[in-house]
Amino acid sequence: MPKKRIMKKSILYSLSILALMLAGYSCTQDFLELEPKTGLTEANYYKNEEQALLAVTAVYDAYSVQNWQFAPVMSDIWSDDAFCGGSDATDMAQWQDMEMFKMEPENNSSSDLWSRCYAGIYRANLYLQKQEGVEWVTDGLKERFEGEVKFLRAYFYWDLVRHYGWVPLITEVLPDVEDYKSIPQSTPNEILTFIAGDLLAAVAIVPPDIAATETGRVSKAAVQALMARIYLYHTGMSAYSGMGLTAEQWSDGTTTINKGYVQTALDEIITGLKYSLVPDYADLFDWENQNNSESILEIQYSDKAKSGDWGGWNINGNFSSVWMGVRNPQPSSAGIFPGWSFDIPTWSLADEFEAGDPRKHATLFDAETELTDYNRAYMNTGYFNRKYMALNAYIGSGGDQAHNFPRNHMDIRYADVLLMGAEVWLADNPTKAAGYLNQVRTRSLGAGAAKSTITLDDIYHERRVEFGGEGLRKWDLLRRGETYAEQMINASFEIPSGAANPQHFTNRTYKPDTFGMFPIPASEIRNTNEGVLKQMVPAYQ
Amino acid sequence: MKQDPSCLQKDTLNQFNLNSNPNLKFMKQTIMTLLFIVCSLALNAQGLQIKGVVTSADDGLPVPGVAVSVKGTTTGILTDLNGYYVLNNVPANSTLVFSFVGMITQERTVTQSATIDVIMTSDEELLDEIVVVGYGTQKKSLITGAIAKVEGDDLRKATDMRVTQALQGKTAGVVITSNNGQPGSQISVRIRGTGTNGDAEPLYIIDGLPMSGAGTDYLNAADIESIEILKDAASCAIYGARGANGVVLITTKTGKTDTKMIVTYDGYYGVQNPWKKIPLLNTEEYTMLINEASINGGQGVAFTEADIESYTSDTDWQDEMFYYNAPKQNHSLSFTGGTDKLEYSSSLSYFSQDGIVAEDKSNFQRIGYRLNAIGTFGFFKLGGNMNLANIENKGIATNDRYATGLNQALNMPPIVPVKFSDGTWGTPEAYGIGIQEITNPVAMLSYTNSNTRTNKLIGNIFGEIDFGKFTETLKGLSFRSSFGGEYAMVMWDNYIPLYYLDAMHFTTVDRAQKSNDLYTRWNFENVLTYTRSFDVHNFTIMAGTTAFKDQHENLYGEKADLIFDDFEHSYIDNATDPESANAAGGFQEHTVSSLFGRLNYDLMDRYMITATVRRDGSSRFGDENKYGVFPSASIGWVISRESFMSGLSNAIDMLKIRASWGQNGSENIGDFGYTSVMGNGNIYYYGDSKTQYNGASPTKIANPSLKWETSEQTNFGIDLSTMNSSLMVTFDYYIKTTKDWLVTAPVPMMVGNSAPTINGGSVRNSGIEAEVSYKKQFGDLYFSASINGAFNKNEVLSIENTEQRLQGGDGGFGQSGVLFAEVGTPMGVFYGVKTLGVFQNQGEIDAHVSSTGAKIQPNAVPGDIIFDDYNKDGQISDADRVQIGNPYPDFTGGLNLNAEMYGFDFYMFLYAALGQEIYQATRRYDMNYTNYTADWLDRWTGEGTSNYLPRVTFVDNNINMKTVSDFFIQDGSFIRLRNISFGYTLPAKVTDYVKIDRLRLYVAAENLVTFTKYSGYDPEIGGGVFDNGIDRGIYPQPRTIMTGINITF
Repeated sequence: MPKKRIMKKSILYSLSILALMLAGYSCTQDFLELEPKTGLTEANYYKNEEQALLAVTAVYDAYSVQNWQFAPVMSDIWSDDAFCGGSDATDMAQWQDMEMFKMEPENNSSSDLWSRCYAGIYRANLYLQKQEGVEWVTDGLKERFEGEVKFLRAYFYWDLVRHYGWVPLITEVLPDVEDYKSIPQSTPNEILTFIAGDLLAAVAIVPPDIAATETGRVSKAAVQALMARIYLYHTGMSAYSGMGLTAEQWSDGTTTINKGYVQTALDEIITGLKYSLVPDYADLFDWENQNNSESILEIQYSDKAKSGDWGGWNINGNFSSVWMGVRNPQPSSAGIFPGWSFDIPTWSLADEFEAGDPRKHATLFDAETELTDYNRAYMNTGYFNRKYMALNAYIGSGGDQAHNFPRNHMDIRYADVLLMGAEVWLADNPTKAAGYLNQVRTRSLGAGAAKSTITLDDIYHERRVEFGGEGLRKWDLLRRGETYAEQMINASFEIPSGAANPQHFTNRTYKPDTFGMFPIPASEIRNTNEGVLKQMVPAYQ
Repeated sequence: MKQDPSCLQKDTLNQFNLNSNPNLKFMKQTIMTLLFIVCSLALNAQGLQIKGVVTSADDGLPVPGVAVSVKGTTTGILTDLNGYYVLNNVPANSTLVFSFVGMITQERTVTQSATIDVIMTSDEELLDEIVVVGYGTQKKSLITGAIAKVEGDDLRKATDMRVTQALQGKTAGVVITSNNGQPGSQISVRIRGTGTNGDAEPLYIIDGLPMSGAGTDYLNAADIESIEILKDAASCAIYGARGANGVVLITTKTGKTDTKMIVTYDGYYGVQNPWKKIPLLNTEEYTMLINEASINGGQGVAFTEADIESYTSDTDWQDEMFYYNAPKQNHSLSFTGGTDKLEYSSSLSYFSQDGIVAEDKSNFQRIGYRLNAIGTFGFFKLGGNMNLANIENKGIATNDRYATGLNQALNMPPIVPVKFSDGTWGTPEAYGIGIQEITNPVAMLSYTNSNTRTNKLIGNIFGEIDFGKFTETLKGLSFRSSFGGEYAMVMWDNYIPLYYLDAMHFTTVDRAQKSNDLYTRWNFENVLTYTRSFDVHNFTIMAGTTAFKDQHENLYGEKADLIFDDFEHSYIDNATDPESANAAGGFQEHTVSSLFGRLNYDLMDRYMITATVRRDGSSRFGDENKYGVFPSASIGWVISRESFMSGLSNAIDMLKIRASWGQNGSENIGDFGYTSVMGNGNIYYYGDSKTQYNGASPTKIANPSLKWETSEQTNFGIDLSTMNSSLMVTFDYYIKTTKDWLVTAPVPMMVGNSAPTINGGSVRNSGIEAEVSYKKQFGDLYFSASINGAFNKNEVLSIENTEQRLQGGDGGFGQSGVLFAEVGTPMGVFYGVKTLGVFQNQGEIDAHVSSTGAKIQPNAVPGDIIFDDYNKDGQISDADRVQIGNPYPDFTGGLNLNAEMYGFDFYMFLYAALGQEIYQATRRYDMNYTNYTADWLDRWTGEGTSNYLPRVTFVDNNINMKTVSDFFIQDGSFIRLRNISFGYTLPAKVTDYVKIDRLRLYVAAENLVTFTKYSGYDPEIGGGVFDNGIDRGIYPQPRTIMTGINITF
């Protein structure tokens, strides 16, 4: 080949190769710009009503998915209604410590509850910021969603204020995570004021009636009932020195939620006739009778999500059911799903029931008589929580069995509205108060058990037997005052003679200066700027 | 430097310049003298007469046996013992050629009769190994980085499923640890220490295709030509954003042009056995100890006399779980060869291994086919390779305290029989013992049905143009374009039968599960290389681009209530419960695009300099940090080639010093770390029928400025070859700092969402590595030995979170955060409370007080463990935890020995890992009725009985067993005879008769002896950074005895 041709040819080759190399590189920009294919990015979301509904759903999720730190169970363990239980004194040390008033800032229950509430607040704040970008087409939908989200945000702050007292008040998503590290704690009064604002906003816009396809969503009665519950707590806790609360002064600055407000709100629910007591108390907790006529606010649990993640903990069934179940129940024909023996009802609760009260059987499962054998674990009393204990008949169709019990948790029910009504009317209209109480009382004990006049003690007795195992007792004890709480709680550790396991019950001494609260999680103090977060509750200082 | 005993011929050649070797010299001289006499007889006195002496440039001594021939004719002669030659009848104007193996051939033109003395110099080209570096090869003598080469033949001596496992102990500074002994399990590879809190595995490049460590499972050891390990940053920098943890280059075999077809069969068959059983309590001891624990806990006896009398079983659960004489075999048939234009290599292989635990439930089988062919067409070379692999794998849980595996065998009470006389399974529950996860593991295995099938196609094609073949001016310029890829399909089947074993182990319906994963990846690279020498200047310039993409797609489905009740019919179509149907599936992808270049320059083969730069773009980073640039530079000086060293040329064959510096990155950080993706798992239910709504919220806080981890490393090295290249020494010192590792910033929980991933934290690894090898022929005996060792020091320099600490790893039940890292400690060391023995009496408890005089352990009774109140706050808590051990060895090293004589060959390889600790967490202390190891018979039972093992008790108020403490720490050092083999190659006259080139028979053993103080099954426990060195019932390495055959046709 002539040299020239070769030269030419090689120049040609060289050029084409360089072209190839550059071609290989020039598509780089597109080549490297990948978008996730299994999920939208935050920037592309919150555009339409469907996405808005799912964003609101994520806020509800923070209300329901409680994983380890199921708040009603923890409240009962703290109270005189339940012992911690478990396999031994080292099982769930964070609960054992809670029961013994020995909580430390490193306590996992404390950090988990804190974390869940702020996750809900984040989702709520984010939604409220993003809702303006949604293309709204349905009339009133935006307002309703906003009301639901504000109700839930109020609920998270309510959980925070009653468990920690002094917490940072975060009302919007901040631009930089560093910004959170210098937010100081607000006082309980400031938090409760904020809660009042959200609840007052919600009560004006959420619908009074919820369609059958929307059961589980927030109704006006739920907002009113929660206001009453918080009002009673607020008023009761105003007696505690150091809390900084003043009775009858729960307000958003415009409207004060005082006794009169609550009396009206509760009467409105009662006279509205949208709710009624389930005639037979035993039916109330029938797994086939969920979201019944008595249900005002109920945490929805189902096996449909087939939860089974022991690492990420995204449990959409009622996980508390398996915690409070009987260990190794025999025979299997009894239908009791083997559980872990936590949240053991106390003898003191069992003794509270009047003779013949059918609520005792509906509340307490007596393993000693109803089973041929079972594993008598730590702090065993023989009693288990029949209302929420896992049953073989309701094993989920997928996922992990322990994670998928489709048992709702009844958060606020009509009987509570009646008994709160009785309490707020007790001084102002004793007859009305007795009437409300008798509705609840006679359902279970018959008309003959009706009382003509009632005292606060009567209301407390009725509440205890009516709501046993439902997580309300702790808050009732607290708001009645330090002395009352101390007496009742210490008494629950009086072990009946003949108990098989007295060594499981070391003396428990009530610590009034906890205010029933948890320490601020240690990691939260570490992860914020120095000196920003302080243990304000005297017991943890 | 590695020795290849199966190719004795090659070694002899390599050593031919070893003239001072008296044995060799004597042998040569004898042969040459005979030849000289024969040749002299043929002398003829026509034409020119040329004579002279041939001497060696190395030592000035005469070289006998040099072939002196007239070019283009058959005329020739060999020099005599004195290096003298006389050649008669040489035509005028002809060329004399002086050649001798191992030396550079010289030519002289002759015009008249004359004396021509010739000085021969050794050909270092020939002695120089070729080493694969990224995107090219280099002569070993000119390498300036720290690159270790392991020959494929070395790897074949081990019979591990993964070729990378056979690298253990082969080269200094590379710590290879089996995660467990289950067939098909992964291994952990750490090059020069752990440099990150995340994925610390190196990058694998198999014939140019980037792979993960798991992706090496298809490789058959017989197909490996060599493995190069790039250890220093300068060598790795050519892999830029992926080189921070080192690079392992795997090159598979190609054929050779102009060779006849060689057919080789390699096969072995072996049996495997556990090499250790852990002494456990028998029924008598167990009931005694449990009763003691129960009484100590204030609960009376757990087993009455009558109970104990009724217990007829004394089950050895380890025996029930082990599969003795588990087979392992491999058969590999390969063909290589070539014509003048085509070279090819192909193989077919079969490997199968049963696990030594859980017969039929733990095994691995691989069938592989491979074809490699390269054709040369003038200036153009075209080639490619293709690998097909079919892998079938079954496995049980390993090192897991919850699932069915050896952990259960160690914890099961011996009183429980495997089966009752009526044929039903024995369970602890039947004895009134509720021990939760622990139940009859044999029964549980019988309910275990799962199988993973993998089909892979991996291959590449390339074209290469040699411009030098067009024109002399472009000599040295070449261009190579290659495209490689992988297509892997992994299918997993599982069948969960309907069964009831006990209250914690039952199902209510049977269920079929299946998943399908498709992995694809491709890599397209174009490289232009220009190599040229001008006078004494030699340089190579290389520049290239690559584009890489990998994708993973998966589908999972399950459904319950099958119409058949067995694994064979475990198809979702046989399931009948529509409510139970469940599906999941996802997709991930990742791209990298790069530009890179390298300059190699050397002056007179003496002064070398190399510089590289790579710019990488990765889809894993956001716009703010899409691209990274990674530079490196290295220099080397071959001192032995200096004239002032010529006086030492007898003593030193090669001496080189080198230094390098470079920066690498790691983009092993998962996809979309920089952005916030909406998750849809925030489920809630609305409506009377509880309709599920998948609520959406961002999965974490975004960090758009997220970038790769960067590792910066400086390396100094010396290579020395002496004693006529018998002894070679390589020594390296390095200091490697990895910064910007990805940590999840511990934001306060009140942010309300998962913390963003940030770049924060750095760690320094520094250490020394040495490799010494020796090889020599002593008469009929060929002997070689090599030893290598490394010390590495790992120190965390910063952790940019508020806690300044990272923690993870579960020990025993309820023992979390067993491994931690903080500034000044190594990365991931054991962290717990120090123990100070056992309280012998109440007086000691009363004396164990804080500064205020209060008892530090008020709940303790004599026999409980004394804990050190490190922070002096008067109580034992997490705040008292300190560093109590280190899972990383201080020293790792290997010793290879090789000897061959009269057709017999012997090989052994010892591996040592010294100075590491193990966290022994096999017993479930959280449950009272689990079995104990036999050493508990020496527990504390009264004053003076034990100062280590505490009393046993059902009620552990002192928290002896849940406290993370050094009670659980044991010395994990071990020395292991990994391989030993003894072979015999039949004499050629025997094999010739049956038309076989070579036939070798051998017997071999793996893990024949392990020296360790560790009490568990196996001291070799690998894992991730925060799950390392914790024994929860590891699946041990088997001891294998095998016999094999190598045949070459």
